Amino acid sequence: MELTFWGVRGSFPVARPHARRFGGNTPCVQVAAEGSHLVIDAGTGIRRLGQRLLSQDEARDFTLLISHPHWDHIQGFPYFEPAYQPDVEISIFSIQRQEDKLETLFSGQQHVAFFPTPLEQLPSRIRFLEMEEGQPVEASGFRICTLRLNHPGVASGFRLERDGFTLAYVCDVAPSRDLLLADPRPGISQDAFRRELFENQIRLAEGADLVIYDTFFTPREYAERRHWGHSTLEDGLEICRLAAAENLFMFHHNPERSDDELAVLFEEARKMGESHGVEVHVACEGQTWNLEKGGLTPCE
Amino acid sequence: MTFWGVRGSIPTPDEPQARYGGNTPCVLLSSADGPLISLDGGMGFRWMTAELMAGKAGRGQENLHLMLAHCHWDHIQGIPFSPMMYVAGNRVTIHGRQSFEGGLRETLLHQVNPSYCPVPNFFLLQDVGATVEFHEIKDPVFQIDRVRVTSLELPRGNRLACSGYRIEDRGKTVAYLTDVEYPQGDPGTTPAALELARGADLLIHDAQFLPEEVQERMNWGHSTYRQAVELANLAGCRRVALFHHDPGRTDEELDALELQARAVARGPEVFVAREGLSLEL
Ligand SMILES: [Zn+2]
Ligand SMILES: [Zn+2]
Ligand SMILES: [Zn+2]
Repeated sequence: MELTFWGVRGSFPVARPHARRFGGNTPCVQVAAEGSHLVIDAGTGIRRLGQRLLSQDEARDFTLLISHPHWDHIQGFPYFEPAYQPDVEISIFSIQRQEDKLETLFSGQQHVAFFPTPLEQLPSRIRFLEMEEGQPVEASGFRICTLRLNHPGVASGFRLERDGFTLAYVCDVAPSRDLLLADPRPGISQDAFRRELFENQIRLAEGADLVIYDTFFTPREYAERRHWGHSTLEDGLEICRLAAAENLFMFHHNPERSDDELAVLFEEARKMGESHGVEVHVACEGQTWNLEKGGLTPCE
Repeated sequence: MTFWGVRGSIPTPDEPQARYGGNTPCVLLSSADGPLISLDGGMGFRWMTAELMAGKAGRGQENLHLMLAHCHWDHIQGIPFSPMMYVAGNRVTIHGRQSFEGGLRETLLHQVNPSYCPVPNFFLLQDVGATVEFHEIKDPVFQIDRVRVTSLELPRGNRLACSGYRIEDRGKTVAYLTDVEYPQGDPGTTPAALELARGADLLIHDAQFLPEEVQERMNWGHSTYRQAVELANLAGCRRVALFHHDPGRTDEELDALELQARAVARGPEVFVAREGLSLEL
């Protein structure tokens, strides 16, 4: 099984010299396993992934998981070239939403005012599938579970299991210590819901081989922007410790963060990780990792 | 004049496009005592206005005019991430034409619908951030202080029309024609294009496609470098900047395209627009 980062930047794509080394495309992560093509989030990174998939082999069946419909997680979809192939099938999974269904939001993104080709006119077969929270589904040979996270609107993380390997995608997410940012759920107090959302991070990451975590902020930045809906490395390490997860990937990098700053934060993070018993890595665009039960190694 | 974003369709923060730049359209026109004008609000607008924050915009004293070619994502996606939009006291006037039911304002409001973009809504809320005004262009000629602006609709194949601009200040003229597709691929057939570009000191023009790509990209709403240069030839422009580069076009391909485009110029000086490039007019 292989993991490739096609987009690692949060909020908006950063085509500036300060973000060249780690990459400026918005979130898109590919998990490739024998005969299956699974992609998490459709940020701008999905454009080049689509080109690679079409050039590489006869892949015609794709599973796309969408964490939530903020621009940075869906804006690449209109440029995903496989969607323009008549013999391609794309299954788009996301957590159940009461209003503003994902299909409506994808369609709104391709309204003629904003984009030349409406979603409905794309030649491929696109299916939108809603996942019930906490109810695992099988897709592309993975067992996938989704749980809501503390982030404005309705957002969720994913837990993927296959061949004894577990990967958790916990992004976008706020720390959930004192502030509820997610749309409340009827029938439960805000406080109880906030605690549930905190626990959801641990459930997703429970015993995971690796956790891809929203480390957008430093603690100082977080203090000034608590309502933005993002976390810090420190929060991620705490979740990994509580969940006994082994590896953490710093992800969804702040658009202002320069490569040099990120490199320094990463060095500090590795040391902090050691004291938590967690190995810390940093998501870097274009990098591929080999995932096998019991560990991960970078591919050349 | 400074190019802050020259890429078409989608930002490309990728190595093969690093030299010419991957930010979507934004061109800044400024002068010592004239108005500040931004042509389009693509991703380049985010970085351009971040730089303005060091000056008057940071103190809430900036007055900016934003002219939109149309409301496709690549022309507006920098607006919600622009720091100057969140500073009270700044004034931003957005000029453009309706492309959504309900007009320009409704179109831009859709972009900051909380389902997509949970930012404090400076469009809707009086007490949040900059004061934003909308100028739905009806009369093709209007004045911004001493600057005379002409805006005409340009064809885009079978798609919605787009706005082109001619900006004249103290005898110098910049023409901005992007996201345009001419009938039969001939700019000579479009009087609006000729009128906007006539005698311009600088023509900034869509050059997304290569002539050999045009056949299969009919009705995508874009031009080739050949058509850009042809309009400059016909309209007697002094210089033409090839603009709105295809997201897949690499730096080396743009180098080659510049040479090919120069070969068909009859008079105008031709160059490829590059992010960060400034010109004194
Ligand atoms: Zn995000
Ligand atoms: Zn988000
Ligand atoms: Zn465009």
